[in-house]
Amino acid sequence: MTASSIPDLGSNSLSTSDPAAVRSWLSKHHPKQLALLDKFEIELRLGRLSSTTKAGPDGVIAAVGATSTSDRLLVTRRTVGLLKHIIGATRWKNGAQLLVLLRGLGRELHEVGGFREPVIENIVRRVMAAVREEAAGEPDGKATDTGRLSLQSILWALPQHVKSPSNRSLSRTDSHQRQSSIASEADLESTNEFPPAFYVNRPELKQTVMEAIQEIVTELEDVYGNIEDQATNHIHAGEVILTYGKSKTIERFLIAAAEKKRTFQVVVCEDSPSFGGHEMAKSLAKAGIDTIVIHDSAIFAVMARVNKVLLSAHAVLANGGLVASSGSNMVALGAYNNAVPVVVITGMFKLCPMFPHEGQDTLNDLVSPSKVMDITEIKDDLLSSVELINPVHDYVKPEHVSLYVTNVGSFQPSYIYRLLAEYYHTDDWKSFE
Amino acid sequence: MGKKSKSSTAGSSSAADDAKHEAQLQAVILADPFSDTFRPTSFDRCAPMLCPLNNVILLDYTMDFCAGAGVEELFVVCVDELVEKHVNAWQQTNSAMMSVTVVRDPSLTNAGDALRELDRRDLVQSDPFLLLRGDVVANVDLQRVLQEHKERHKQDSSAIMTLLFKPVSPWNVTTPPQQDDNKGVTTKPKATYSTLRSSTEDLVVGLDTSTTVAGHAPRIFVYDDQPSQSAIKVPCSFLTACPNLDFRCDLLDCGIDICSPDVLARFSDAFDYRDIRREFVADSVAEEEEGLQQKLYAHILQPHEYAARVQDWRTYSAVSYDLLRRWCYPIVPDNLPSGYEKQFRYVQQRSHVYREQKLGRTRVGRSSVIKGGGMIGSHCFIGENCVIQGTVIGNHCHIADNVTLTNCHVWDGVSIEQGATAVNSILAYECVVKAGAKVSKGCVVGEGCIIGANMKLPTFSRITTVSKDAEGSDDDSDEFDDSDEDDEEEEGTATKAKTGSSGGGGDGGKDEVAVETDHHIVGKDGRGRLWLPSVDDDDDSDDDDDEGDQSALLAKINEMKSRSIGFDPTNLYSERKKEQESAQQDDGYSDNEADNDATMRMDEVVDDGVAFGTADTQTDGASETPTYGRQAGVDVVQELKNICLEFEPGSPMENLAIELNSYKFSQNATYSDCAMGATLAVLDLMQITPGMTPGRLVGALKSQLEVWAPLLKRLCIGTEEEKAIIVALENTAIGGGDIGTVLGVGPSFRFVLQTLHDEEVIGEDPVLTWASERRTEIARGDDNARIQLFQQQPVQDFLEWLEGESEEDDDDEDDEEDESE
Repeated sequence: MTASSIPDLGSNSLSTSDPAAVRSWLSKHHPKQLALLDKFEIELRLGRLSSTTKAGPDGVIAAVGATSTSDRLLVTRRTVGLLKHIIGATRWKNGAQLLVLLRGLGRELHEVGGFREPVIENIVRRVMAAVREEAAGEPDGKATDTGRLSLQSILWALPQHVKSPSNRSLSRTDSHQRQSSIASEADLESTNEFPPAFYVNRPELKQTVMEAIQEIVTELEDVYGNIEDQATNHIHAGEVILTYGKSKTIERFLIAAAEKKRTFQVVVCEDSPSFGGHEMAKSLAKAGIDTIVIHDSAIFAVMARVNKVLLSAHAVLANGGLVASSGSNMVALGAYNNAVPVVVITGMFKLCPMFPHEGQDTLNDLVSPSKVMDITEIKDDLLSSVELINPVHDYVKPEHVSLYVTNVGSFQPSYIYRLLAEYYHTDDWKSFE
Repeated sequence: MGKKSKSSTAGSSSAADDAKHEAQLQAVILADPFSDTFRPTSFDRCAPMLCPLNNVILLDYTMDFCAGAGVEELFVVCVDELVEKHVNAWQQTNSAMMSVTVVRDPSLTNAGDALRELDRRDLVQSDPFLLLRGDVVANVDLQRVLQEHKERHKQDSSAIMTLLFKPVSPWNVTTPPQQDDNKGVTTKPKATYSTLRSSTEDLVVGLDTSTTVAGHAPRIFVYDDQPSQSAIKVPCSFLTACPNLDFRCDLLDCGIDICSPDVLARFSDAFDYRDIRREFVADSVAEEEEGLQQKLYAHILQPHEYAARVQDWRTYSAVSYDLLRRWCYPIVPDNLPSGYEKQFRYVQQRSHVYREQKLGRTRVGRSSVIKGGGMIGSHCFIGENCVIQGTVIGNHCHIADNVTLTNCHVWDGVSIEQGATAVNSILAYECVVKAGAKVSKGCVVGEGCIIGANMKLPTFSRITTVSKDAEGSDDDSDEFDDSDEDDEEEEGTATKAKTGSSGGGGDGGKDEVAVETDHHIVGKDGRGRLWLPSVDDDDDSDDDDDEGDQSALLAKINEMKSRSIGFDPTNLYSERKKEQESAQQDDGYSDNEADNDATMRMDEVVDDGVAFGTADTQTDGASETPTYGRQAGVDVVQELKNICLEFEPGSPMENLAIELNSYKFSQNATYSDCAMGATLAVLDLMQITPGMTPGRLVGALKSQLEVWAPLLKRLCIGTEEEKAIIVALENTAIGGGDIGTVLGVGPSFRFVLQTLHDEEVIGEDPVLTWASERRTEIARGDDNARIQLFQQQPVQDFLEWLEGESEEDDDDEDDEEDESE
């Protein structure tokens, strides 16, 4: 019905970012892609994106089963793969249409459980930013003013430039979020939500967008390599490093340092109740690193001996804080008390344009309490009335983090918001709710 | 009626696909419980599998599980039209996920029939395929299990099935040690159990643990879930075959099977299998013959995996509770299955309370308290000063002030008025609980029922608006059309009309008596009648042997109670434990007796079989010696006799012989048993009346033998069988009753024997062996009714004559006779 009100888009193109509209559009024109999306969604909902035995697109076989550390990079890659497939196979004529589609997909994925896996939304935003760039950057090279708003451009720009069209469109999108009807969105469409350049039909756009996505894929592939290169800058000879649980990023970071002939000691916290630390210790010991495993309650006791704490992240938030595996906050607080620097090692694909408004509940999730207590232990009404809680994540305040080591360099937590503007377009920040 | 309907949406396309991809995974969901545990709500708007569990239709969990397991083609077997409608609607919204075909057949009454129907339609192609009950809630990742099953089946084609089991706590009852202080404190027995387990099963699984290295599934050797059975039987060959036989009673059958198509073929072969578990699985694993074995394997779930069945209201409540407490993560209320996440979004708050936030519009009074483990849907209103604990509330519910709800399940559109209370109950769609009413624990208030003001429902009562007549019929679409808004508007008149038609059955305050619309239970302004299980409507139940309808009804009611929410199974379990312990001692005796000689054993069987009431012989009281391959508690001879009695005189004797023969095989019986049964049938047919003269007796016998002699001769392949006929006669003669007195008095017994001999039904040898046996008994000094009968003068005369006749051939007999005399 709304499609007819916008004659220039034609009847067979997507007109709103409403997830239901996106679905019906896909089922009408691209049933194969919809099936792919459905499969992706159900795996996402069942938490199997990162732990299926089915090999990913690159033949990566993730560990089967119960380890709490799910491979976020694999999730990200699979999301990019899905987006690539959908963008490549569907019919759209210009940047605006593609952005509508991508936003719709973002909302769809958010609805089915993307709120648990922020990396998925992040990568959709990345792709959207790339599309914006490609769509705006016309062959003749004009209209860069609608591009990303970075701190640099704000600071160095003329005052009138700050009130650029993109800024105005930001306020408009804000207002549209308050009214959530589809009709208003269609209105926005007709009153040009996007800069005019986005509405120009460009057949070569698909090619350039695919190239841009390929760049993102390459960047994702290089994440570990780029982080590992910085290992020797942060790990010095004779240091005692404390790390919490299992993280592939930290594992490779430490092993990279060891391979470069640095001798150091690693204290691994076992990370109960999932005990990823045991696995971590095993693989570190295999690499010839002097490893100590402690139980989580001993963290404060050993902290005085520790030179540096390494933490991994589930998500890096806009205020410079991070969401990490449950228990990380305890480590960070202990380190803060003993003035031990806390270094967070993470790929930038985990950077989220959101603030921790809910405190400890931010992006948190409670998983099955089977690890806290076995279900066979529950024998009578008395015990079943006891609440068993098994949260997976912790929020760590930015004040307790000293440094972020990322694939694009090392940053202070206070600098994180700036990176957000580099990575995502401001218009896309809040578009998936 | 028998015409099958098939959903047109997926049927045509899937048929074409089948030929192409054999590899695509198929699944079968049995979307009917084939039992009445969910009644009476199963007659209302929703079939049992369409109940909302935590505001999600039960069947949708299962279908979503299939989609998650990578199933590409799904068959939903159902009886109910509503299920078909629901599945088709699901298919519309989740079209791309997998193709779904509904196989609906209203004539299906059990799981075995459903599988045979599937086999007949030849729909299932994939090897392996998934077989699920429609009430399964699970978060298991089947990839690995499927892979393992495939490999096993490739190596050994008889490995046809893998069953999934979840370890839960086994039931037990402990009585704390009695303290000897005189405070008069009675120590109560304390039961430990898992609420996920249905109260009517008691599962023991025997697993071969020697193969479990490297995480391989163990083979199942024993499967027994009958609570009535006190002991499990394990053939010795199993114990030698696998030294590490592990018996576990802590396993919960998840209702998820991975099968090879052979399973369907097996069901088609064995046309009388009804239940998958009790009959097919139990029989298959019990097969001793190596060549005939079908190997079934068990996959034991890891602690982080969850799978359970919603079999009745009690497990319904338990699974709901577990889902709220996130045991089945990621199947939790804030992560809804396909199709729901577009409409609703539940957000978790403290202490496992989930509130709908997408549609929202729910208002909760400031002073109301909402406590642990609950859900509140959209568009609800909850008044002031309510205490709501552990309760799942659907959408569009209206709860007034001062209401107390504890561990309830409130479905969509329910309204609860001021000051009402409900504990451990199901309040189904659009029912009304009026001001001050009290719904006690275990109640089920059916769709559209009204509980009148200030009424108190008795515990474990089930209220329904469906009339008794509609209950009997399979098709309840009329009830469905009876729209709810109308009902509420015209409640006054409607109830009156109903009471009038029901024939005014207000039988005082008795809860056990079923009456049509029970104003004494639901109040003057109430609506709905008390539902009670009907005794004779299905033969699935185990209580056939109960005498009288009253006790059968009572047993049914007890079972219903044990399947209701809030039932405390302590007594049930302690009773079961007592029974099993006492039965264990019995088994000790029968084991000793198994060592005795064969004749002894046979006599005992006969004694039990033909007990006409008195028979106080010394062998009486001994329990039947168990025979391998025979259903426990079945009196084979009696059954065989019944088969003979059911025989229509006109039809060829051939048919009866085949029937007897097949029953003989099925119960591992002998021809002797058949001959005995036939003899008893003949005696029954003679219509012996008291005071019948021996002459008329012989006449009657002769006329019967004209028909029956060929069969008896056919059954008697040797001396043993002919002797069995004599023994049957003998037992009848001493067994009392009309026949016994006529047969036991005077020369009747002798005449009957002689007639049988004359008609060449029994030869000389069996009579003589029989005689010699009795004589040895006399020599031992035994004296009982049997001996007295033997020592009757006419019988002795007959024997003498017989011996004289056979003297020339048989000298040995002669000698023996001399000895004994």
